[in-house]
Formats: sequence, structure tokens, C-alpha cells
Amino acid sequence: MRSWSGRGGGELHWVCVMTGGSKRWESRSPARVHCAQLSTLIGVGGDESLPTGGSGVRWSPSIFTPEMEKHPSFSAVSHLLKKYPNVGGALFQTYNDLSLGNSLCSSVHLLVTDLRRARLCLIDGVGQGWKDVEVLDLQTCSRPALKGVRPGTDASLYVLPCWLSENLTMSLIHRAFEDMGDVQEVYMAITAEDSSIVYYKLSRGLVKPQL
Amino acid sequence: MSRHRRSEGKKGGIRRAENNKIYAHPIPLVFLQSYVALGLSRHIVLNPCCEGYWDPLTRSVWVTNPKDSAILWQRGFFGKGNLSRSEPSWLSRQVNARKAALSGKVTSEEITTKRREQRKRFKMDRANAIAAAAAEAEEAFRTGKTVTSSIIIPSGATWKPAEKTPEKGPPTISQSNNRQEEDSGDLNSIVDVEHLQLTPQEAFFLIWCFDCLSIMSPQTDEGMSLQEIWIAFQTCYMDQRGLNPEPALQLRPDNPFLVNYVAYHHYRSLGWTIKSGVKFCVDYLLYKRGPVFDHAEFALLICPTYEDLADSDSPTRGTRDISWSWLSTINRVNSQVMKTLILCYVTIPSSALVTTEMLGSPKCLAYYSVREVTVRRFIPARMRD
Repeated sequence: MRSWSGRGGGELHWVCVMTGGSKRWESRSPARVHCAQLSTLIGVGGDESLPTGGSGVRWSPSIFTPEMEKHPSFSAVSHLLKKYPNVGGALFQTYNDLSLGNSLCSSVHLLVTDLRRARLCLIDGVGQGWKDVEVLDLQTCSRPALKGVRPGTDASLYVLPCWLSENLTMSLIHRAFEDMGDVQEVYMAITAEDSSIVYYKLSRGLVKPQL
Repeated sequence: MSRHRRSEGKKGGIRRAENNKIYAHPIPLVFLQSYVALGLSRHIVLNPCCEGYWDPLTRSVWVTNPKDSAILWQRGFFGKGNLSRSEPSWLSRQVNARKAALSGKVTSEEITTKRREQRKRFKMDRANAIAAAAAEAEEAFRTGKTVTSSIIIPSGATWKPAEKTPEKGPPTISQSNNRQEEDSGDLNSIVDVEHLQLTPQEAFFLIWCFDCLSIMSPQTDEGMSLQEIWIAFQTCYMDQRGLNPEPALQLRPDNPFLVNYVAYHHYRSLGWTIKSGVKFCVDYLLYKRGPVFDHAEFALLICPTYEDLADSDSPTRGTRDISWSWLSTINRVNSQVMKTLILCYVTIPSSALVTTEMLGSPKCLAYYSVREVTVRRFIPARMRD
């Protein structure tokens, strides 16, 4: 985890804190969040180089564990797991959390591509509630991302998964915003090795809190 | 912390007694006293022998067997359910959501949901009250009269929900009347897609100190030896995993796994329960007994320091730039949630002293040391006494 030089973040103002794992949403007042939470975001490093899979190493498909291959979410993300091995784990965990995570939301039908998941679907897959979770491949920043519809809203939201230990740069975040179609908000899913996920909401410009 | 207990009353007492029973064992090994003779007692050690799979992509060990994950969670709070807040409770939440009547076993996620919904309602009430009071004041200002406001702005301590909201059962109740036969059959056929996820540090601690976990390799699906596990855990933090290089050539003493493991081992062996601190912007949270019993008292930040400064420009260097602004914001976050911040300085030995061959075995941990510094904010005006 690194420190965040929030001074440079002219476009990062309002950050909603959402604790993950079971993905609950709550917001904090701007003063507190700006000082405290912003600085805990994954740090802004000086160098542009990101630990992508591009150190010339090709990911060997046999590295996938049998457990992961059996997992219902595997088929949806496997092509990007191979392409981006360094952030593949974060993508997989975030995808699981969004599509399968906490229950007590409105009934959702998971995207069905195989029989095992079809069974989940019949039982009125009570998942996180995020419908139509799609996996995206951001070209400019060479990272995977996710897109889905949150329960209770209609708009599709974008999620950028990353590891806690990663070093992100402002230019990457700018490019991610562009790649996702110049959206106003992007959620960053920061994953840890024990599968804790913390979601941070990045917005363009100044955004007032809801409550 | 104790004031919560007092307010819970009898129900809290029952829950505490239950928890004391379920979480009676602090470590996965169970010691049974077999007989006592001549003042000597003989103990049998019961080893649960759990199994896990090493997943280099997510850098974690997956325990998919529900019995093993229950044992590891209940005896020492190791790991975290990957679809839950802490204990793997995804399946029971799914089952609860489908049954018309809650089975009575309320999971922690459900309690948290209710609490957060109440808090949200309180915030909306408060916002409305503030807006109404402001509107009244505006009105009074405009007309020139002074009005004694009858609006009370609710405070967190005294607010009660206005009306009893209808029990928000699962939305499928009205729709599923004609599907009840299907549902009852389906309850048994819900496939549990959750597993218990252990960090490499937790897994290695279990293997090395208790020998109660065995890890299967992803390629060969056979048990990995201690040596292989040690090397694999370090290699996964380096950029070039996926290849099979000679990992021994690349091992460095400042590997994130080693640094974190030193701290983890230090506090675990002192009896603390350690969980991830990502929700509070720190590295680890220290619990006296476990998350089930009480909130964490300490928030641990690991600050690696190099014994030999020449090592500090290494590729695996996790640049933790310790600036005052960064430190004070983390301190602020943690004092807000009533946790004490501890800076844990882990000294990384110089690479001249600890060579790559030595890093191939856990014996190199003897060269690391741990020092703690507690950070508290000092407010001169308030701390006069």
C-alpha cells in the first residue's frame, strides 16, 4: 500500500467509501474522505511502467488450478486471465464478488453459459444484484475492467480491479476513464490476497455527497 | 467495548456463551488429556489435516472442503470466505434468502445490512429535519418574525425508526407461491461456490508451525513439499511468475512475502489473531481473541527498513514513502474507529549477509527483526493533564 499525493489529483475529488467482501455502500463526508481515504488509495508513483504481463512472459495456461477452472465464473474471464496475468487474480475476485457476492438483493439471473451455472440461474440466482456483469478489455491502459448494472439503478457502472500492492499512476486512471467511454464515475476495486475487496468511487470534478 | 455488552443484556450473554463454545480452540490443533498418573499428564494432539490448493493467480490458498474451512475458521480465525465478510456464509445466506421464513440463523452480513439500512434512514430523517429547520429560519427571516422552532433534529443516540417498516422478506415471496415445490427441491441443490481463502502468510504459518495444512500444486495436483511452498510463495510476488525460471537466482530478502510473514509470525506467536486491515487503510488488524468477540484493538502498519541502504534500489522494493501527511491521515482514520495505530518496523537484512541460497529455507527468518512504535495523536489543548 502506498501513499497518495492527492495534490495532483485535480480530477479526483469525491470518493465514496464502500467496504467490500460483501459489498456494502456507504458514503462519508467530503472533508473526512478527502483527507483520510484519498491518501490510502493506491499510490501515485513517479514511473509510468506498470506491472503488466508485458515483461515478455507468456502466461502458461497450465498455471490455472483445477479449482479455478471448475469455478462457474472461470469461462467468463479466462481469456483475460491469460492476457493479463498480473491483474488476473484481482479481476477474478472482483467478478465473483459482483456477480455472486452478497444476497438479499433483487433476484438476478446470471449470464448462463454452461449447465452448472444454469442451475444457479434456475434458483433465481440471488447474487450481488449486479446484472449483466461484463468483462472489458481496456486497450490503451492494457488492463481488464468490468461493467454491470447495480441493483436499484439503471445505469451501467464501470469497475477497475487492481491489487492492493500495485502502483497506479494518474495517467493510467485518465486513460481508464477514456477507455470506458469518458464516463463520469469509475469504481476501483482494490483486492487483497484474502479476497477482501474495497471499492473506491472516482468521479470527475467536485461531487457533493448524497446524504 | 464493554458498554456494548451491557446494553445487549441477556441475549448477548447467550450469544457470548455460544461463541465461547464454538470458538473454544485458539489453534487448529486440539490437545486432549489422555491420562494423569504420578503427577504427569499425557496429551494427545489431534491434527485436523486440512487440504488446500495453491492458486498463484490470486496469490492465495483455497480451502474448498467445507469441513476444513469450518475448522480453520473456528480454530484461530484463519482465512476468509471469498464471497463473505469473514466467515464463509454464502450458502447459508442463499438458503435464508430463499426460505419464506428466516431459519433463525442470521448471518453477520444480514445483521450489518439491517444496521446500515437503519443508519441510512436516520441520516435521511436528519437531513430532512435540517432542511426543514433551515426553511423555517428562512421564513422567519423573511417575514421578520422570530419563530420558536418545533423541529427537533434527531441525534444518533436517541433516534428510533418512525414506523415499523414491513419485514423486507426476499422479493420472491409473492412470485414464488407457485414455485414452492421447485424451491424446496432447489434448496438442496444450491452449489456452494464459496471457498475459504488463506493468504500465503496464514497458509505458511499453518504448515510450518502446526503442520495441519497440506497444499496441492496447481500443475501436478500433488502435495507440495515445504521447500516448494516456501519458494512458490516468494516467487508469486515477483513479476516474472508464470515462467519457471531458476527462482533461487532471483530471491531477495526484501520480498513482500518475507516481510509480511515476519510480522505475521511475530504477532501470531504472541497470541494475537491477525486479519487483513485493508478496510482501515492499514496492513493488519490485531484482535485479542477474534473478530467474533470484539473489535480489533490495534491497527498494524508494516514499515520495512533496510539494514543496508545499498539494497534499497531493488526491483521488489515496495516503496512505502513514509510521509507525515500519509501517516497522520491513517492515524485519523483509525482513531475514528477507536483503534490504536502501531508502526511495525521490520528490519530487512542486507543481501550480503543473507544470500540467495539462505533464502531458500525458512531459517533466514532469524535475520529479520521487529520493532513496534505506537502512534497517538497529541492534542496539546486536550491533553493537559
